[in-house]
Amino acid sequence: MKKISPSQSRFAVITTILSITFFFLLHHYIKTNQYNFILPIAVGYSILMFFNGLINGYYDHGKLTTIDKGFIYHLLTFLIVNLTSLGFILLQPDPVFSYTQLWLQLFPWGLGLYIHYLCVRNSIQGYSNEELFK
Amino acid sequence: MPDNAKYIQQLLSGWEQTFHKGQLTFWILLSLSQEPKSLEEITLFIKSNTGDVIFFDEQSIYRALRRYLDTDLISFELRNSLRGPQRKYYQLTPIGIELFNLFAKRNIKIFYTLYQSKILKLS
Repeated sequence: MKKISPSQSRFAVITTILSITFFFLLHHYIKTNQYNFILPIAVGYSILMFFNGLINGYYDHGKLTTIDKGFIYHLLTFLIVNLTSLGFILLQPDPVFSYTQLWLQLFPWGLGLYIHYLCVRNSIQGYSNEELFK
Repeated sequence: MPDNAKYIQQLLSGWEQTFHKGQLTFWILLSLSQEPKSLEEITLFIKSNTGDVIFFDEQSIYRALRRYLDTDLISFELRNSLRGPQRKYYQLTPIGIELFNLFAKRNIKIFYTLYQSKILKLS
């Protein structure tokens, strides 16, 4: 069974590009003290990510998976965004982000991801058994 | 008991209501295992093959079809209709066929075996 559909692969690639661009701009504006730009780029990143998930999710017909589709998108976002954050800490000579900030981002989000997993682990494509076969 | 027949009817009605609830999937997939059907034809198939004992309204069947489409049990194609717009004709996907056959073998065959071995008497 295929675990990742073409739509999910496309979502992962776009998320990676958007996240690298966002963290690069964020890093740049913090370094140059141009704080006015931070809110617009954060809002722009959120909007683009929303449509990235919405459009790719809508056209996602890779259904032959036992893992909930919504959870796969959540997991992909979690991994890509946090790995990008880590990349910026490791690769930048003078990073503006710290490991503490990364943990502060990782912990509540990881908890949310775990709760999401608990909610969908017994579902079939987002339906409970009772909903699907009632 | 003053009126056994009435009481049995009440029990039967209660049991049937509960028993029929879980059968929607079976009857829809059974109707589609023959040939592609529209919503109206599925409703008619169930009605005519159960002697009006089991009845599901079109809205329940439609909602169930949406769920089966989402889970890849069925697919549909649009066909021209003599009157009005094109109609959706639903059919089982290979997953739907396999699931239905497995379910029938495991759950429906039991009744047939019971009937054949005369444990279940329908007289």
